[in-house]
Amino acid sequence: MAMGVVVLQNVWKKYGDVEAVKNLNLECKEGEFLALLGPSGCGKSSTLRMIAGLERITLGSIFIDGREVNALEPRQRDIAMAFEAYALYPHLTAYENIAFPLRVRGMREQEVDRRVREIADTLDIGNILDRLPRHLSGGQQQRISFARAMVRPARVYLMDEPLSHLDAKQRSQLRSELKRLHRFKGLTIVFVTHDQIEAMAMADRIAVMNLGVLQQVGTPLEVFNHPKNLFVANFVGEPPINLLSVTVRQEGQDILFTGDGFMIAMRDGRLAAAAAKLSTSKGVLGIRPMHIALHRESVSPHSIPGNVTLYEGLGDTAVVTVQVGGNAVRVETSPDVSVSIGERVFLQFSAAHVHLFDQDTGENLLH
Amino acid sequence: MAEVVLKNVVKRYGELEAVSNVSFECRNGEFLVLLGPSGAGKTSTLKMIAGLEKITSGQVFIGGREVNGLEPRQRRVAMVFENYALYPHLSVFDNIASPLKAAGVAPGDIEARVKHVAKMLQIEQLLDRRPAHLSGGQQQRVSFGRALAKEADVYLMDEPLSHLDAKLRHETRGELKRLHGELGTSTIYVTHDFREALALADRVVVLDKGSIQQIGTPAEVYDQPANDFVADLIGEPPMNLIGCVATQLDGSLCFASDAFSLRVPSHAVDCVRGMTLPRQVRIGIRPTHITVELRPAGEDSVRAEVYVLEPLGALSILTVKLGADLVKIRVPEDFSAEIGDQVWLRFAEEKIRVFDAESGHRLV
Ligand SMILES: Nc1ncnc2c1ncn2[C@@H]1O[C@H](COP(=O)(O)OP(=O)(O)OP(=O)(O)O)[C@@H](O)[C@H]1O
Ligand SMILES: Nc1ncnc2c1ncn2[C@@H]1O[C@H](COP(=O)(O)OP(=O)(O)OP(=O)(O)O)[C@@H](O)[C@H]1O
Ligand SMILES: [Mg+2]
Ligand SMILES: [Mg+2]
Repeated sequence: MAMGVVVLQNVWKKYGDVEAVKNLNLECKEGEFLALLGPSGCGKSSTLRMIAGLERITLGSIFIDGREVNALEPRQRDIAMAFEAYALYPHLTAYENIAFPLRVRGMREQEVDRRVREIADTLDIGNILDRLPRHLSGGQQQRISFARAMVRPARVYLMDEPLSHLDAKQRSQLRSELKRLHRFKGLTIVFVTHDQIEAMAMADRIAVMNLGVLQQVGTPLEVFNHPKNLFVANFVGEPPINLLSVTVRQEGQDILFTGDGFMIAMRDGRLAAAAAKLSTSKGVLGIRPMHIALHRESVSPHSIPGNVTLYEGLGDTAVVTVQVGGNAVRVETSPDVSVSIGERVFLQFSAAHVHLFDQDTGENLLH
Repeated sequence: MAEVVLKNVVKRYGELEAVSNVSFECRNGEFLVLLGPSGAGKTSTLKMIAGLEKITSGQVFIGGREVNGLEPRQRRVAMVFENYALYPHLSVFDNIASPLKAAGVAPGDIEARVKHVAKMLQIEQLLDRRPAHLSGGQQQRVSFGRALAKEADVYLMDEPLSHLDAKLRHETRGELKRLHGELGTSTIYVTHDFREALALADRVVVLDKGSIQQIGTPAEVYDQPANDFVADLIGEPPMNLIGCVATQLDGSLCFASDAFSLRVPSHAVDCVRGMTLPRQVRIGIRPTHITVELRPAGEDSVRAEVYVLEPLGALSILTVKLGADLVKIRVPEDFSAEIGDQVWLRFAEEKIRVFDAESGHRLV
């Protein structure tokens, strides 16, 4: 009975002196889509490879459907894998590469063909099935490798950046298809990515890692709206959140934030309670680029002046970088806003969107 | 510094024509981006400029000199490729330093240059490691660093940021733009990520199946895509293309299908009037130019069915089924709906583009 519950208990991975994964405790529930998200080198691939059995577990245990798999060979774990490095069989055509895991299982030729065509159709690779891997572009190879993983039933599907070489359109298509496939078939999927959009769009829950350590596990919106610490806040969200070192002072009902090149007062009960938790008077104020309004004139005494240093048009939106004292503040605006480099502008945001972090522990005091 | 010119360049691998008669120019000091989907021929084009792939026919000029017969090292280009090609037996430092050593740069300068790019790419703490002991993204940054450290007339870059996370990609993109502003070195940059193209490029060359689809500034390719291919390539999600007929109903011009009927917006009226009606077209509208209502919203609203909803934090992407087409819409993050729900769409009229259903060319 394929259920597909994966449990990691106090798992460590060391490569000599490098501690790639540190005491990881994590569960992927039956039928869950769990994303492992984190920056380059944080230990995502190492984690996945230990679940797959491609990398020895230094310490701790991994269970699949209640059975400890530490000592099992990859093939004994009943998992399907898709990796960023395509690992296709070079002497087999794309078709045979996809059919391979089915043939190994002794599936009837007709059924093999039906399944290969079906997945090839979903992934839009029907026209390159007779080519050898070396005659395919990077993105094409990746789709073949992805198809090979998805074509067969397994308890757990493990995927390491399976979409990283695709273009935007294929990626957004494949994202929707994978999400629906997951919903309708109830597949258990552990999906490694450094692309938070991928993680947010598809996952039921996201596990954010940094330097081998699990930072937060939560639904996409929990992770985005209630980041547990500075790291998560800074990693999730594009363009990244602005983090400003501030001195915090209570003045009557106002909370006064003073930083390099600015001073603002805010009146907000939530913020006041958070400020009271600061261990010193120093904190880090976080505000996302899309929550800042950019004005060409000073619209209120609470707006922060600065100078435009970079303008990046992205089509649907634009990102303007504004120098405020020593801080480079990113503002996401409509592409219709036109500003020039060097221009003086004024920034404004509301207390409701502000995060406050402890400077030493990095903890989100509003969490 | 130098300009790069391609004249009728063709690349064939056996039967397959990967690059078909491509001509473009990267002006002196320009940041030119080759944008295209997987298999478009971007890497093949770049490799021919670099000298890593034979030019089947046509000519490549760098700084006015035809380079068809020159070895890669004679072309004075610096390259970074998506597969990393690092020296496995050298440390990260020596990998980045190797082209500088080969060029006879003084050791003190080498150290400074290596440190500078290592800082920019956030790999300073990895300088002593061997490539085998690095993660995928770390290896890619080393290879990028090696190209950036080198002095060259032209930089050729093949998806150098594709393995980076959003934050680092954003930062590195900004750094790269600044660096280009400072050095002004002609750069040809390959990507399938439209964001990188729009943010970095002076001009974008859009490629598909080996052929150029459009050459234009970022604003041009976004706002006035030359055809449905370009429209579909740019934007996350890209422009929606909805099949319908331009026709006349009860005396007024409209776009109609089984699923909807929409009045032809004023900026398109002249063009539609000039057509033999009815005519098969596809209307193009960006996901940011549609609003969604949970109940009928006036005459011009169009009914559709929820296909999937993907939260992205700051906003969500709603996909709806409209007749035979899937239409994607950027909605606020607090929007909620279940698969199968009915919703009503409103299009921002002035943003509607019209494409010929057969040729794909933009008509309006
Ligand atoms: N074979 C190895 N020997 C030594 N160190 C290694 C080895 N493989 C990985 N590492 C190190 O372990 C850490 C985690 O690497 P891992 O490949 O798990 O990262 P990742 O999160 O998948 O990163 P990326 O997004 O760049 O692929 C990194 O610091 C990396 O340099
Ligand atoms: N060595 C080769 N032999 C045969 N065909 C090849 C070879 N290299 C590439 N091709 C084919 O040429 C076409 C263009 O490939 P190219 O690598 O230039 O694409 P690309 O635009 O860089 O794609 P991607 O974004 O996936 O890297 C593809 O159809 C590919 O399958
Ligand atoms: Mg990895
Ligand atoms: Mg390529």
